[in-house]
Amino acid sequence: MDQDIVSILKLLGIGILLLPLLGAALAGGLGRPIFRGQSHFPVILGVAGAVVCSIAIFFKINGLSHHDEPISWMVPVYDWLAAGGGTWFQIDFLIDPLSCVMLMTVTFISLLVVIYSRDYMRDHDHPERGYERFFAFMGLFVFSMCALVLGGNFVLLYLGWEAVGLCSYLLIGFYYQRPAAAAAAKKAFLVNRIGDFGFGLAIFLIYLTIGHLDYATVFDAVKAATAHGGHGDPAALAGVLGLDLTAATEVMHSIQDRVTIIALLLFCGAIGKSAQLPLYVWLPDAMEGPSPVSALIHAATMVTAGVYMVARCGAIFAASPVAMTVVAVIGGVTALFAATIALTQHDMKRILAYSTISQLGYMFLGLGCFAAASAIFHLMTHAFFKALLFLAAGSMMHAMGGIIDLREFGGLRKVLPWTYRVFVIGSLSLAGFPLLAGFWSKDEIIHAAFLHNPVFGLIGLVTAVLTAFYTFRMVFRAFAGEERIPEGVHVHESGKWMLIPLGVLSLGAIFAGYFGVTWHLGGFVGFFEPHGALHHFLDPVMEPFTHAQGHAEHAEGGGHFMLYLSAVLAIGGIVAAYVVYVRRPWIPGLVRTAYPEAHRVLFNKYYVDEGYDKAIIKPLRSSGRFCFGLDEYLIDGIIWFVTAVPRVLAFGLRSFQHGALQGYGVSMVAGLAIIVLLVLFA
Amino acid sequence: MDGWILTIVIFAPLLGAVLLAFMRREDHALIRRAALAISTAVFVLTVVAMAMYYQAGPTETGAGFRLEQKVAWLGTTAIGSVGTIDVKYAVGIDGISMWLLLLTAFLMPLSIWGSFSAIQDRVREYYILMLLLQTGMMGVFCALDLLLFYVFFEFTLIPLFFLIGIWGGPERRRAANKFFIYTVAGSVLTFAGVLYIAYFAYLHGGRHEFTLDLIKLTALGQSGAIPANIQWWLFGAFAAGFAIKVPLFPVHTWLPLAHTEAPTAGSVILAGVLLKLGTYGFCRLSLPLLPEGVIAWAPFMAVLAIVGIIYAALAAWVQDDIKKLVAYSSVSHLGFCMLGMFSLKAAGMSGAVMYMINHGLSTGALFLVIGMIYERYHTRDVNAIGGLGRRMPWMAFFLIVFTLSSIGLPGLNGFVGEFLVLLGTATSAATRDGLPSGPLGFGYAIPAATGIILGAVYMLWMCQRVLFGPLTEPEHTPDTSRGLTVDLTKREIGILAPIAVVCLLIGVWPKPMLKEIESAAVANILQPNAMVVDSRLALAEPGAVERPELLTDKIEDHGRN
Repeated sequence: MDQDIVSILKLLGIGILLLPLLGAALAGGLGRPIFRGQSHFPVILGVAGAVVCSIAIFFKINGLSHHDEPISWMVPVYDWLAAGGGTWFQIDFLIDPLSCVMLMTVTFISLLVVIYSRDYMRDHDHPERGYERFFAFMGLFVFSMCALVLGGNFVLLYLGWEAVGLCSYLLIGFYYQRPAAAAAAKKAFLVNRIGDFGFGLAIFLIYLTIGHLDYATVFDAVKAATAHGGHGDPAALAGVLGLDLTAATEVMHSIQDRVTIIALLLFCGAIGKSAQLPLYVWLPDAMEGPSPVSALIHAATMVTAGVYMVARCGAIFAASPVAMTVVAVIGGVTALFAATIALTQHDMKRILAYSTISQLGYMFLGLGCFAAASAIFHLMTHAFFKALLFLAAGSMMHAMGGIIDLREFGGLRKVLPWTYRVFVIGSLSLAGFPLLAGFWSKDEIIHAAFLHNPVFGLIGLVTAVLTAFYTFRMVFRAFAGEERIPEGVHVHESGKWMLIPLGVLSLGAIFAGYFGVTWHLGGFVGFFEPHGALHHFLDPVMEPFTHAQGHAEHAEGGGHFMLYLSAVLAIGGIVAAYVVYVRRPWIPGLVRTAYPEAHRVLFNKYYVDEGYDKAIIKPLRSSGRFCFGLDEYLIDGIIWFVTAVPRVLAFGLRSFQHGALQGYGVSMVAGLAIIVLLVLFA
Repeated sequence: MDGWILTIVIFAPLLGAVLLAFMRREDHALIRRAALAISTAVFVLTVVAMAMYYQAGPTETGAGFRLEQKVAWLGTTAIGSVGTIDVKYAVGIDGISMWLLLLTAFLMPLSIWGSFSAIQDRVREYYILMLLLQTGMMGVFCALDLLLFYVFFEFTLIPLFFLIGIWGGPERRRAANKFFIYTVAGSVLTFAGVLYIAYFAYLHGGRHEFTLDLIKLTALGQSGAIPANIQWWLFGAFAAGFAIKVPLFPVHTWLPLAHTEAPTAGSVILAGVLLKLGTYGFCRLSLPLLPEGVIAWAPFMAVLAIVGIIYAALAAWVQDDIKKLVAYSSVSHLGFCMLGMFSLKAAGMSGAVMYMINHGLSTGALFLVIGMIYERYHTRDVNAIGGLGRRMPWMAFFLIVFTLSSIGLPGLNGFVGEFLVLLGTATSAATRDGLPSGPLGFGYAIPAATGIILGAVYMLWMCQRVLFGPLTEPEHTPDTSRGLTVDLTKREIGILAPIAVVCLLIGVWPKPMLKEIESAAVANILQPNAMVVDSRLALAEPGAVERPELLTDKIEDHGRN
């Protein structure tokens, strides 16, 4: 029975990975000679296959969970790296509710985005240059992201982590002839590498401490070592690691010592990938990539890898209160910080990028406040509405020949009726309008934050108002008022390949929240109660969080007050945007002139990029020049000096070398005699 | 024939060189094809040798060498009543040398093929020297006698000296001289060390035998007969030659110049194989022969390696000449290799060997790509060329693949070595792999890991400048006069594609390689080392007497696996 399940899961997991990869290989390898303008087909089919496999895995696991059978499966595939002493790091899958939810979200959104790209990557029905390359990279991305989610150990997580980073690099730089795109691609990769530096060290430290890198053993070991309120359970640890009690006690102490630093190093990686303070700087620039890429990679999936990682490593994070506080603080501060920048930007895609950073901040806030299931819930709903917003923005760009600056156009609701509708739906969901997807998940996080620490809750609420405000600032400026269209642009609504995915995503943006809500008479507005099927499904995986929280506080309480409050605040933000940008359009100018300093700081994004350039990049370049100078002058100078000694000697001894063969013979014999004497008498 | 195969493999290129010498000087096309055919045949022979290696099966302990052949050279001569001299022609391979041998045989036909259009004068001499060079390199990897090792080791200098000096760039003379003097100066000390250890064996080996046999000397080193202070000095003497070859910071300054001036194939072989002679020397001679010297020197060597990693990466970042950039990246990468070796852990050691091979593949390929650019544009200055991605999509594809391999992207080969090296370094003090606690620790891994950031910085910077952005070309280029096309020709794709495939294969499924490398690393390099340290520990603290037993259990376990 178990063997059957493992082999089924193995087959499905391999399908999820290989089908998109195969599609990518076909598009990339045969795209030019054969598929040409149809290069999307292999990739769409491959990703669709991955969706089917993901759904199959979900039903399998869901079925098991209803029968109270084990729902967490390690599926070994093959040996990969030698760890020394005859042990190997494997390629293996961990399939459990968390990976199910992630896989379904990732593959489903990916499918919609690649379908959408079929038209987006065409110009008047002619495939753009690099059409097949685009789809090959998209397929490769789906493969990498699924490998990241499926992987059953830290090395494989790192593999997926780097591979999605590579795809992001290649796709941000898709229009590589634009210097801005090339620079943005490089920046994304390098900033991520800084995070990966910490992530890599975390892996080494885990291995040094525990001696294993597969999730199951590592998490069980950490759980055992920090059981009983942090005092640890050496007997259980000895069982997990197969050691005797003394050795286990020793390992236990080193785990207790190092769990915080391990968690923080891991979080370093999460900060890079999920664009949190202080490593968020790459994400706004990443908008140089095509819009489908922004939607899929830089909003819905890849950037959430950090959230997934923290949720996955719950055993490690929840064992360290310090790490949890850091996660919550970074998340909360980033949420607020990015939202304030979004208030002043003009490029719609960049506004959405800052909004993504801010929403990811929410997710980390949720994780830090032990509401991991809510964070994953928000991850899922966010994937829908943010992908929708990016794709809708892409539809506008497509319609207007690549222009996306709010200063260039306005009042588009008539010319782009469908885009307008779906954009408003996405915006409402993002703003947390009551009963839409974003409302449910965001409220849960704010609720948990309040219970954990009122300061976090307050940050969450303020950010929620700002979110509603900047989102609808964008909506009203783009769609309301008089129609303004850039000169020489023929605006046209997008075709069905683009509108159908938008429609499906709109449905998601409205209804995806109901996976996480239960019907309950007497609940919020009479019918709804948070914490629904999704949470029950995820609960076993999130056990470390809930367990740790159990020591600190109790999650319940507060009733529905928070739901009503955040509903009011969201609507308030929208109304405020309406007043400021539609009814009294002179207000923004007035504010700008009244507080010029504040506006300049926000508009220039707190000068963070400039600061990094001055504080890090320039000094490093200079030290590179310094090193090279050392090579050229100091080291070579010393070498010259050393070689000068024999040269001087040679000059002095030249008189002994007059070219007579006998002379050399004499000295050779003399030398040999000395050696022989030494050998004999030493 | 078992014993003969290695000899055939080593001397087949030499034979080929002799054949070439009899061909007509003007017959360029024929000479080229003959050279390619010979080197391809050598590759096939090497594959045969590999098959025979597997067929020979492991020795009982998993230690030792296979396909051995021993012929008395200076004879096991008795010098009167004083004793005997044991200097012989002895070859054999283990899991480490086998893969390095294969790397050499693999890269040589590709670099010969890559020279078809670039080398237009003194064609015959060029290919003769290339083949001679191959004999030298393969000899080093097979030699089981220290004198033989040293002869081959030094012999490689001569062909390369001429390759750089004749077919190199504008400053070829200076580069060739600097390369030659630098390396000879170091290896003289190495030779002194080799003679001394043989002399020591004669005095204290108990058999009055002046022996240069690697296995006998390893046994001597294991027995702990060489006093620690002598080991310390001997290590220093060995290191003088090997460190310059590697090259380890701060004796690396010959490398950027030599690389920049060498012809493309010379750079490929220099980076791909010749630098590995240094690291191979460390792991074949220094580590097994001088266990206590190694322990004493390891922290110092590791610090030099780490400084080299960061220093060379920063220096690479400010180069305008992309070939020099890749040359500096070699210095940085070889630092990783040294670091892994001195972790004295199974993971670190096998990572270091993997790193040798992977660096040979990816850096060799990078030099090939750069050579292809240079043939078309006659410049390597990033300020003069740019945006070539659209002009040369195939070239861009390969440059990106090898860049990714070089910066250690998981799934490609570079990651395997890099990860294991850092893992070994970080866990050097742990004893989980059955080996005693090593001299390094987590503190060494932290600064070394910054190398993975900096590596990405300079490589991606180069890609951005060369491939992306608006097209920039010098006037009257690309030059297609030598039968080249604007993008890569089929021949050039044929050169790069096999390397790319191998990079991917090693990245995805390194187990066949790692298995052999790890068992050889443990049995032939680390285990001798471990035994000495362990017996000393046992002497020092009576409580630790069980440890050697535990260790042997592990060895047997290992043998079974």
